[in-house]
Amino acid sequence: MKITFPHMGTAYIPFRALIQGVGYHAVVPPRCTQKTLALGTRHAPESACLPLKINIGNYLEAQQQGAEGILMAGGIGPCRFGFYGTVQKEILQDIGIALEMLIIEPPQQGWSAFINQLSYLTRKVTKGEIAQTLALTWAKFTACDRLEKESLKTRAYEATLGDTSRVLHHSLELVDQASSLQMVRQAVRTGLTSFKAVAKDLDREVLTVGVVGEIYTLLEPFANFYLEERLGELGVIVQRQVWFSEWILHHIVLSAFKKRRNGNLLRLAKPYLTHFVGGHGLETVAHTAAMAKTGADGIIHILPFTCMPEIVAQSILPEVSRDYQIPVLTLVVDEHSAEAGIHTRLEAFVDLLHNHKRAFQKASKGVETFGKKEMYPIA
Amino acid sequence: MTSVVGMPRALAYHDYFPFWEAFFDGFGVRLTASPPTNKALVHEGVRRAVDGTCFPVKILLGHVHWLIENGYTTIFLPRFVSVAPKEYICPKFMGLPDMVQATFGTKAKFLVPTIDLNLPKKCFYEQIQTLGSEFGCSPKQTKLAFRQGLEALRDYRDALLKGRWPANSNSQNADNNQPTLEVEGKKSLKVGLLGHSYLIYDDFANMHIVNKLQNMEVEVMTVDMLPDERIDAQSLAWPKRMFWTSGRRILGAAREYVEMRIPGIIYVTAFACGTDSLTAELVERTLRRESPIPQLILNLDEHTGEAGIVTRLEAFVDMLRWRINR
Ligand code: SF4
Ligand code: SF4
Repeated sequence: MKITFPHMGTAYIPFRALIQGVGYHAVVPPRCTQKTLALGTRHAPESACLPLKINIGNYLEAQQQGAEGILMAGGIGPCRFGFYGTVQKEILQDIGIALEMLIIEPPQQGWSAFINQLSYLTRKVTKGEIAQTLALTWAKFTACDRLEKESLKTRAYEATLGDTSRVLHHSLELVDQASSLQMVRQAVRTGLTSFKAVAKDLDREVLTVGVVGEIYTLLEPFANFYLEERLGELGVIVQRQVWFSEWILHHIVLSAFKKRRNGNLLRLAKPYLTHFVGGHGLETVAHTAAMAKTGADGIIHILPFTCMPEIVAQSILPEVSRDYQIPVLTLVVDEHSAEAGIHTRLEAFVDLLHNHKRAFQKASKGVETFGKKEMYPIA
Repeated sequence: MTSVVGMPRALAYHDYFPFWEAFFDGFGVRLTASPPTNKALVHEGVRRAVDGTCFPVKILLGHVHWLIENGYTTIFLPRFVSVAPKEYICPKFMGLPDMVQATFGTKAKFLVPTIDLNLPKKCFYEQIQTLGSEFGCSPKQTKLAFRQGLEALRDYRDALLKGRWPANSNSQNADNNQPTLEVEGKKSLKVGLLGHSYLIYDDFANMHIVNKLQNMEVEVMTVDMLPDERIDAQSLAWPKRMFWTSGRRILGAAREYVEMRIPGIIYVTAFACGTDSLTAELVERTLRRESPIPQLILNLDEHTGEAGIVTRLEAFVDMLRWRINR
């Protein structure tokens, strides 16, 4: 069977390795485009959150490329993601598309069911091959994240627009093609060396901005209007606070064994949000405080329209912003968002941060006192 | 002197107020609710909410505002995480007290016990005890008050099950047995409502649809009029166990309505409600495939025009009558 899956940033690379490793043909959906979104929006409920709609678009486009099955994660709540697969299955059935949906429910729903699902999917291969596949998949997850992290630092200084992105795409491709752990490691090494070789303008006045929010919109560049690239080109070192490999570590590996996750970080959220609210709502608040403490110049909070956990965070962030005196820009995205509008707001925010920084430097030299108040817009 | 504590008449109020009222009464504290939702109050809530907040949370903010404006210095706002093992209510319920505090700051003292039945029962009792001790109540007294609360809740649920409407809802026959309507020439028509209790029982929020239906000589059923055993059994018939309590009850009730051969189903949902966006989709698609029962989905928010709702209700009811008399 030819299996596809929804896009989420660079995750197609490890997903491809995973699916092929257990003996199926992987169909990576075409890159997300406006057409993907339009397809999804046509069939998905209007009030669903954005990722669900783009997922549907991915499935339909992958089906045209020959996909017969979809690999999708389930969930135990409290946020909508846990029901994505179930609802998407109904939608596909109504459209009359013959795509088999394989929904992997997490072990919290029951270990035996979890193991049954996995043994069904891995029935074509031996235990040894499974272990190898998992190791390769994991190596690719971390490799992609490592390379992306490096690109975020490099891009802010690049002398020629687009150099960093070119290196990134090339080295990600090497990771994608790698068929052994060694090749993955080699790809990362090549990538890191090439990043170093990118011509840089080290005198550039760069800013550091933390990007927080809902995981899909953070990870999928199409959903965030290529926010990281755009910011990098504007001379911003983006510190994205959510990474797929870390997410897997915390939410799948550790939480399956009921291990506490990042307690120290979450403590920072305590004065504002004292309870887990699903998704990354709590992390958003904690990361904003943590980034402010480490001297970031600003925070961008991104979420899909009506995202439940992030609405909680969004209601609370003004307080954090005020207490830590850090500007926060909120970007709410849905199928009606326009790239031009988002980019204008990003540029305005970067300008504001520059002014802020200069005024602050002046103020600390005692040249001019600086009115902080209006500097904390929550858009 | 008895102390007075305010509770916003929104969200969890509609399912649990009788419990908390009796509980607080057990140690001489009067729990008072804000008035039924009205336009001014909604306006205040809408002003304070961030973009994309669901209508019911906006309404809640309006009620909290009312309580503060009217001099309530202590506001009761439990954090409802879960009311049944392996279930949640909604992510927003979990963060609600923090959202409210971020919005209103220290203008009032918020009493925020955490209700989380995903945790061992012991944790829940601890929360209840802490609440009692807040008012200088002994553990024994608190326990008694808790029992009193449970009794009140049981009575309330029994009354709902028998078809009564909450006393505070403005529906015509509030607190009365709902008469079965059998009017000459017209067959008695039943319609099953689906939706969160805080939409069904908030007449302002739902634009008095219950009254409107009753005026059209329609008998209105709610999820709470179905026995829990039926809802539980029917909710298992869905492909995946629903982890939102209200959503699970809605899914169960939908199938039960079908089995009861209720002629029509109206799903009342709120604009920007995250849970309903998927629950309603499941109901709509599945029922449409499996049964001929007509469904109407009403999506409400502060901009919904009453005239539009009336037209849609009338058309729906006419269509149901036509189908029956055919
Ligand atoms: S986190 Fe937000 S966007 Fe993602 S599934 Fe949950 S509600 Fe939807
Ligand atoms: S269940 Fe829906 S209406 Fe209720 S609080 Fe959550 S999002 Fe809002």
